[in-house]
Amino acid sequence: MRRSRLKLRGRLALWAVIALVLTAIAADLLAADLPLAVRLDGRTHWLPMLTRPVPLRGATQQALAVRAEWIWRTPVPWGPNQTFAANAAVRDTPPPWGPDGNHWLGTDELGRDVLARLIHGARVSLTVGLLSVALCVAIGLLLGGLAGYYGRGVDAVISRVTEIMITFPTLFFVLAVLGLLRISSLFPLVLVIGFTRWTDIARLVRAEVLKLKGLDFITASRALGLSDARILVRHLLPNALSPVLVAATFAVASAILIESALSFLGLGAPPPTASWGELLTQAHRYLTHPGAWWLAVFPGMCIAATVLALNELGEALRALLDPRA
Amino acid sequence: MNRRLLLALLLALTACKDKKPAQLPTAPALKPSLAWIKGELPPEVLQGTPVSGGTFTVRVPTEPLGLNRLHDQQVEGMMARYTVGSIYETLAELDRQTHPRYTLKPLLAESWEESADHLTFTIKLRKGVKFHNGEKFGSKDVKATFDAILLPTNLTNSIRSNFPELTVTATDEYTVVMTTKKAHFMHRNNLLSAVPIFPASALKGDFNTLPINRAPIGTGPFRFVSWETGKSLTYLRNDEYWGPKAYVDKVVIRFVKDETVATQLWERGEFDLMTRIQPSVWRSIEAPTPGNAWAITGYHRINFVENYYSWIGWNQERPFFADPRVRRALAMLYPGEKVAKNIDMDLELPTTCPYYRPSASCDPQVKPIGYDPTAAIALLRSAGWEDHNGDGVLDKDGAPFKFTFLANPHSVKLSKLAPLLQEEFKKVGIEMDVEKVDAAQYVGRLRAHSFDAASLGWNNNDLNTDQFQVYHSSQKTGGSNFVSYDSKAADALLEQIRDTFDDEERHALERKLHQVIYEDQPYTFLTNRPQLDAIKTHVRGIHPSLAWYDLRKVWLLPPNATPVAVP
Repeated sequence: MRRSRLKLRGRLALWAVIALVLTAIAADLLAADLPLAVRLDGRTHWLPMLTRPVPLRGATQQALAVRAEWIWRTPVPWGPNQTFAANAAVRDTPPPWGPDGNHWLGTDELGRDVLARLIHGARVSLTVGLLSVALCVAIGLLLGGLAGYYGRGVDAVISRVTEIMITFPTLFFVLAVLGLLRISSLFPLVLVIGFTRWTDIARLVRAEVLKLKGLDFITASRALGLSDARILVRHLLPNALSPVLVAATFAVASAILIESALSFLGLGAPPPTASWGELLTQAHRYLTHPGAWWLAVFPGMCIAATVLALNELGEALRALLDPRA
Repeated sequence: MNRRLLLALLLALTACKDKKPAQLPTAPALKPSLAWIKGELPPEVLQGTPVSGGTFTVRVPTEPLGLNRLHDQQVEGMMARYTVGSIYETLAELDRQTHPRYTLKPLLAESWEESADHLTFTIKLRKGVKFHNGEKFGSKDVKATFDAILLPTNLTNSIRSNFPELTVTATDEYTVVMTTKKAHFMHRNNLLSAVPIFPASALKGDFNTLPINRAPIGTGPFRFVSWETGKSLTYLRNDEYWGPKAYVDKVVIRFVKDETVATQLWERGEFDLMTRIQPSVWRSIEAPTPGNAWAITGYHRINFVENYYSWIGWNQERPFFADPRVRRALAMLYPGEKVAKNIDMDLELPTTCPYYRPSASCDPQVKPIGYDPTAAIALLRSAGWEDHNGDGVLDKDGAPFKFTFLANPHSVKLSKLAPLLQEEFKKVGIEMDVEKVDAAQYVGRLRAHSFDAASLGWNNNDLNTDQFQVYHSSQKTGGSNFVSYDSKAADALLEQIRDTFDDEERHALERKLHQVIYEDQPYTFLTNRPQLDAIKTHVRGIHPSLAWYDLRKVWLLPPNATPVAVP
């Protein structure tokens, strides 16, 4: 009974994560300043938000709707960086503007559509989450595998390095490293998270390799004269992957939280990149006077839902892959 | 059991029902007056008979590294405001009542004489003045203070640069003679009103670790009591003060960096003087709603234009920005109206001038460059920047027009301005990346000229400003000419201005300099920032000025006092 419930929650979580990944991949098709297709002056432009043709430079979907023969709009007709998008001229107060028919989830302090920024923000969160965890897994597999397989001195050195890395409080360490680097893209963030969060995976891999290397199939591989590298890469690591997959799922959630925290502190992706944490920074500025609840609620919900989904997925994977769970 | 529960619930409900509703105070009229909207203090703030007593709490946004006004690493604009004049005193002070001329009036000096060649100042000091540690004030202290400034091994470069080749001699216990080799129109103000005087005994030892850096000793109307790091400074009234004593017993300077937290504390009534209110907060409390009653009925607002202008600087060592036509085009792409309405909330005043707005140094004939993307494109084309390869980015000699804007992530205004600029520039084919650098590194990067474009503001607590350090070509290294502006016409004017003592004549030269600089556009000039503050309605004796508020004059209306009738 319990297993089937877990399975259902896991499946739901998986669908949520898939939906998020698809949103991130198709962000440009879901929310953009230019339409999916438009026929203008006798010429049809397909996916102009990607091709950026010269005649449509500086245009908006709203302006094109008036001039075009036909137009196929994106579901959210605003680009993530389109400032003072709708009716700025006729509004009495400066942004942020609350949710209305034009902007379903409201706008931020520069009049940019919150929904469009959330959709494009998913891309930042997932890029940072997935790439940094890929790096974590690579480092963790390498170091954990070496430590577990060779043991003795190699194990002692790698294990001590791992323990030293664990003692650093991650967020402060990441802040310190980012302070030293000159950030102008997401990659320093990915590298820093990747290079600081590999320890859990390394320890898991080490333990698995220690357990596996005494088994008969490894002894057989040795007897066949296979090289250490081949044994490690072809036989040991593939068998140690299950716990890594579970840990990696949790690590993605944790990396997304770190990215949001760094963006909240103003050290995340450079402007004008949309990110969930950056929206929360703005929300912090508009807590009371003037209040703008939509800047806190919607990105907060996105972060919470994503982290929850990934954690549920991790739990479900653990239940599936670990017979003792 | 259930019946008992029901009975208890009924009793509770009856009790609630019987309870009389709390007597709400009669709601005062919520609609703010026009003066309140404008940020003008009502006349009663300067009326009435002052009474002594009470604690005056001030919010400031930054905590200084130390309280030694002379030390390079402790010079912080806000710190000077609440220490100089209240803890430390200068030889003379700016007369706050003479806005916008700001003449000097004696403070620790009784009088002074300036020689006809403007090279020698003979200063007679006030007698009977004591420092907070009980020592007598005299010429030895003035000499010791200036000696500390002039000692090259001390970290006093920023203040020392005002006094090249200065010698200070104490001719008797209360007379000091100061001599320089080169006359300068700012010398009088710099010598008399910019240097707080320390006791000679407190300046002995390593300048970097002097006890007065943390626990200042001066002659002012308040004496320092404590500094709780990260929280507050506390002063008590100096009952031994040589002049009219201050009215309030205690002053607490609270450091609250985060604007949101500061606003919440302000709403809870924790500050008698709230400083640096964000434009969005300032505007949002104007709506006549019950949620804003605390501000409308509890505080008077102050909107006072400071001697401050903000700018976007274009590093002219970079090939993009060496051509003045390009800099002009970039000024045409600055969406001034959008920024004024949506970011500055129509509170900051667009400017073209590096001098104080109400002064005679700005030329009113200089026409601001307006937002005009079409003209900007034409100007860029005349400078050779066109999209030759059709990739959407302008290029010249094969190099694309791409640059990086250095931004301080803690600046609320820059966080809004940078994406707007990116959008405007992109429309014409200029790509701007944003590099966020921590506040601590920001000025270092500017000094090292390690940036393409950046934004900052220049602030001055005095009316007169010598623009030499910022715009003269000799100041590219060591000075504040971060953008490497180089103009023979501006250099000549800047040198001439320094030697011109007649105010009218000098102002004429300054107006000419204003024209030259605006024509060359080393900066895109942005705005003059107002000081947006608020005081509780029971605070009296507050008068905004370039020299900030005079804490000696502040007094608090006792809780049950009848407010003075306003005619």
